[in-house]
Amino acid sequence: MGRVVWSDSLGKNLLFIAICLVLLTHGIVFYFTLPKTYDAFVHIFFADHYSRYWFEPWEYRWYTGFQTISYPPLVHQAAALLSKLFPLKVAFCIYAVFIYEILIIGVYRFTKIFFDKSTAGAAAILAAVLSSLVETMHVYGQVPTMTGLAFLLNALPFLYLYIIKKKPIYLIMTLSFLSVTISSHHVTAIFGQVFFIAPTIFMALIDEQNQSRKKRSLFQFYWDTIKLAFSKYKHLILLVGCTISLAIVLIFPYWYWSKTDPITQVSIPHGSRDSFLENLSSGLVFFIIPLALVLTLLPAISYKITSKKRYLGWAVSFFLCLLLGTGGTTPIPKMLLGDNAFNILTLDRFSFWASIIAIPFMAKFILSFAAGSVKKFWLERHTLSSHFILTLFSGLSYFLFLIFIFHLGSFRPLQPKEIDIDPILNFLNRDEHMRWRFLTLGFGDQMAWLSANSQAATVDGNYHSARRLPELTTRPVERLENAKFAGYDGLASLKDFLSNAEKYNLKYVFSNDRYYDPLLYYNGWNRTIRLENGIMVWEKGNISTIKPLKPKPLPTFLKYTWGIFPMLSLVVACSLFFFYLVKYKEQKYKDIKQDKSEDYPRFIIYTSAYLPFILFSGFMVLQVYELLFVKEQKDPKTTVLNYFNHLDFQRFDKAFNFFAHSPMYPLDQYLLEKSVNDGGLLPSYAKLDSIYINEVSRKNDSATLRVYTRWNTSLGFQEKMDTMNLIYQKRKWFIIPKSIIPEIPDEQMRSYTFTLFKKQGKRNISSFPTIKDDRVKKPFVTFLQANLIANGSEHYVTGEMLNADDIPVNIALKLSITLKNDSTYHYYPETNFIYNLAPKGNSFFQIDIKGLQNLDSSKIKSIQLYAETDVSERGYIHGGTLGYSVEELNPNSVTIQSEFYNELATEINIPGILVAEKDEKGMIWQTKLLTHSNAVRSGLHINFQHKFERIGQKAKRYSAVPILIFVNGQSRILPEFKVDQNSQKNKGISAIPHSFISQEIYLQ
Amino acid sequence: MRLLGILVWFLFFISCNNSVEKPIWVNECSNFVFPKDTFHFQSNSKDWSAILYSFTQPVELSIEPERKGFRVIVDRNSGIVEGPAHLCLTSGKTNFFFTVNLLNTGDSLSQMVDYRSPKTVNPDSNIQHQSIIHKVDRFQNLETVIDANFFFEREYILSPVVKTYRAIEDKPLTAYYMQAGSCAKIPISSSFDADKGRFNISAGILKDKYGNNIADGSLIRFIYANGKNIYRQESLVKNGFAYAQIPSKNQEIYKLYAETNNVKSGVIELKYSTKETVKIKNIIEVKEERKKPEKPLIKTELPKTTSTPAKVLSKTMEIDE
Repeated sequence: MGRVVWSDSLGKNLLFIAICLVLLTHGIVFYFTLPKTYDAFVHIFFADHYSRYWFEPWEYRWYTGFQTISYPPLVHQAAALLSKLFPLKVAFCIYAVFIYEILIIGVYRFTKIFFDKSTAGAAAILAAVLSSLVETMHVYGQVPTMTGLAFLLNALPFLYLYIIKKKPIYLIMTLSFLSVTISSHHVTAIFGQVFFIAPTIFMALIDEQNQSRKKRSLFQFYWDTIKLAFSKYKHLILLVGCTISLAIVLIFPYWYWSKTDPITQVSIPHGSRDSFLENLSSGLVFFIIPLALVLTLLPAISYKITSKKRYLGWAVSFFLCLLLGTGGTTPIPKMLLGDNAFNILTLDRFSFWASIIAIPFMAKFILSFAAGSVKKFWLERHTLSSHFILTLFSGLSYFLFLIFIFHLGSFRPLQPKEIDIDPILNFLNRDEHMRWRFLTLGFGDQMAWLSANSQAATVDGNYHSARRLPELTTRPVERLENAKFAGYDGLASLKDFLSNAEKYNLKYVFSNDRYYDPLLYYNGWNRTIRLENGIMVWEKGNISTIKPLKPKPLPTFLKYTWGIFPMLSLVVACSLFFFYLVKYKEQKYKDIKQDKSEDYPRFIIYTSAYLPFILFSGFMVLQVYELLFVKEQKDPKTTVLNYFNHLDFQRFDKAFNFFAHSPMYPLDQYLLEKSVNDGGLLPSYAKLDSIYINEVSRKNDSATLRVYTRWNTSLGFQEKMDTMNLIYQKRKWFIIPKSIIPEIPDEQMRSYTFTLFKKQGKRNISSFPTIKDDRVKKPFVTFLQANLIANGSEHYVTGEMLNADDIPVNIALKLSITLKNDSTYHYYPETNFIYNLAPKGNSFFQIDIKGLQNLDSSKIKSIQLYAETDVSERGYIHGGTLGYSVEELNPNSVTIQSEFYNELATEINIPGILVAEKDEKGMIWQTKLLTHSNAVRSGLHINFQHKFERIGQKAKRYSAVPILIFVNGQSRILPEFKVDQNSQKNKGISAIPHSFISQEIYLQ
Repeated sequence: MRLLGILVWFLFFISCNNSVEKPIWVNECSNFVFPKDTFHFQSNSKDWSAILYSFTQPVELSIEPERKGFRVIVDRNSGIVEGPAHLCLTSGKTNFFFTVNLLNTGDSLSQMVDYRSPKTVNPDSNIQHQSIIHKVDRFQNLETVIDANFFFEREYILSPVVKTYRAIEDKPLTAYYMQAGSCAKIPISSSFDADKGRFNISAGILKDKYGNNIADGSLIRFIYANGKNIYRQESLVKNGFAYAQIPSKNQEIYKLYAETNNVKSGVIELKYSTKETVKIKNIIEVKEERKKPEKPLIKTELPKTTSTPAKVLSKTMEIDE
């Protein structure tokens, strides 16, 4: 009796300690880890939606509008309610910590259906420091998952008692808690039935069987259990029927949405589906970290979970979750789930559930090792000090591992640095900038935080299940915002939006990553202002304001059920729980067959005792070793690899350490040479994609390597080859710095006269619509030619435009093709056009016609080419003096040798040329942008060459289809072709400079 | 179960709002007369607010409680743009709308307004100007001018001299602009600066067909070739001149011309010289003839009216360019 009292008291004390521990650790830390999580800001955005429009599920701010009924609302609505008392972020933190506390209680109660209260108390403490829960909260920010799980675990003891005792109160309590799970996270509710509810029912049936204490064969035992299950069919049907009914009713709008607006999008790659052997970092994040303790205690868990018949269901659940959690490492998860489910689900949640199922069994062993039979076993054979040291080091290294997870975002940056959003909000609020959509680039999940704080709309979004725009759903791209990480598809998708901006009323881009600068510039975007927080605002001219969109219709009663039922489920569950505590709570779960055995075989004790010590200590030692003792210069290849790694992350001081030390070549000299010679598309706007190193020669103390690098730029992949010489000194390999002979201009000072324009207008200081007198007139532009060209299966419209006005112009060019079946398609020039032209400046253009199969002139009804103009204050300086000559390689191919002289008073970061291939009449066959990888500084020259494929011999012009041209809505007539003598002298090639200048934003 | 029942009733009651009945307009009339007017409403509810939504702007009205309701008071120092409007009465989250008509009382000092179109005139296309003359009162209400017409129209042939003109002398908002046209011809000259080893090219004075200097910022392309490469240097015009500086490399000889807007200069040869400065004159002569500024063919006189200063309306009848 004394043992039971002590055990009860210890269990409750441990639970109390666990609750305090959560409050003191997660409660304090979560506010600071929240901005670095993947999902927290998305849920905060949804919470903000409900705080503004509780009964209106239509959210217009993302993806040109979507329904919030696409995600169960309870968590968001609860946070929205709290946000009426606290700031949104604080409200979300308070809610998350509150849920963690409920989860701790859930773990305690869940463990009690397996073991005694002491073990349950230990399990509660374990849950407070379990790596999977820490990761879910502090790395993923998945509070709905935590909410679903917390209430599911709390429901299980009631479910167990309902099966055993058949009292309606237990059914009501089970259903009330399951209601909260359903209302907060649908996936937990669905898979919880399989992995948690089914084993609980099975365990209850087994326990009821065990009460008879008859000796039976194993087969007979299970057969009797099945018979028992059938004998309880009324209770089970009632349970299942009520659960399904609740699942349907509570979140009926979600099912309605799934049915009426099904998700038909290309699967988005997720690290949890990778092969963890091939992609170690995915393995670390999605398997090792959540299952760290489970894997080290796997022998003890496996032994215990398979030791009794009552655990059979749990054993199946646990090992199945563990297996599914391995992602694409083996083909089994794909075979079990099927292709479709495998590509939709994020499989790390199976690892997460495996870790939760394992908690009681881990707690059992840990408690036994700390103060139970395992400790007794140990002390009989070893000393107390060895037990103490093992406990100390295992515990200490696990806690260090835990701290590593808390700060995973710092060790391995998952998100960009925190952005102060206030300057962006001020920008959106002033001058009616909110009347257009915006796009963020390089914000990470903070874009959701920006949206939560603004009523402005973006074309992007952070909840990909709700996307319906074809430009997004047809490509495996999670967000436009991080397009550079999605390779070719990501940039193609982003390019679609940047060039097709008018369709989405996309006028502003907030860029936090200069990687995108070349893409923005060459797609006709202008830099407007750099905000106080360093964010560059890009703007596109000639974009119309957002037109009112009609939300997708949803019956009013569904809107009300969505606003009432989920929160009601929480209120009812909490009320019933207190009601249960007062009225029905029993002191002991007399009928729960708790397992009090503590015996573990010797092998299990030793492996489970040593494994945590070995693995956690080993992990820490590995971290320290990587930090201090990794030989980055052990051989020539490793040296070059690490050098490029540092260079890619712009760690120039570390990169410098790879150069052979010499008093003549200090860090200062390296940085100076770099500042003079470096810069341009590859050094400044690219990310190293892959590297291949070929060792040309190697001697004892010297080596020559050829380094082939592939760089990911926003204008496409670029390849480069370098030759590097290395020497061996003091047991390390060093790179010999290349000697640089810089071009030295004659002048010491350079002057260049720019003419700057300012669109000052005459606006009255009023927020009411301005009168027409204020408006600056639309500048005049002229089409010099426009031709429909067919080159094999490719079709495009080429031409030339001239700014005939006295002010700089920004031109929006659009091609509309109407086919004979009356379908109309719109196309834009992308990078093959100079969008901003100085007065009397001209540009070639080419608009590709994509996606129309087997197009020919007989299918085309009409072609219209529209030019809309707007006054531009900048963007009319396109580069230095371009000299070029053309060499013919064969009839269809030439080499263009370009010589750039930068006469400007600023650096040209990306020297580029817009090339047109013309025939003898001056008709343009094709236009192409060609860029060079390195910058050219003021007063200096740079030479580069490009191979150019000519199509004049094989392409044809459809002259039978007239192109109707319009400038600012007014019809215009095309002039006759004009012979271009310069192109005639250069084998039909004409080129004009089209360069990117990053420093002086008033020029571009 | 009792507790559950109480909870359900509690939720039911807290979810109920007190309904607000539509106030009765006691002295209902269709016109709201500015600047002073009062309207009485009968209502049991309190805390009313009133906003008048005209088609140009919202106007906040004051409310004073009465024994059986409240009164809405129009009390402004000025009039309003007349026309249909909505009176919005708000109590809590409930709004009631009443359709009204806005009128002004008292004398309205009328004035004539001269609106010009296009505002910016480019002599390349047309130097004809349209003037729409109309009459507004001091609250911007349009009034009839002649024979029940609200405006009359005049056309002018403008002076082609580049300048900012004003339709009404002291009103910057009525300004209209004569731009420079396209460049008629490009005189160019070059010199060799031996000290700096470069050719200095100048194009200018660049004028349109009316003798105006072409616009500042206009792009001039200097195209030059050395037999191997064709070079292209761009320069922007300032005060009728555009300049280029071409470094002399290896004593090469270049042939150069300038172009803008499909107008080309003659070709000149750039030769390296050891002499300090050699000037080469363009083969096209520069005619320094500047046309005298032309006066408008029709004087822009306004018909005499009772009021003096003209003012531009917010709802003008503009013809888009």
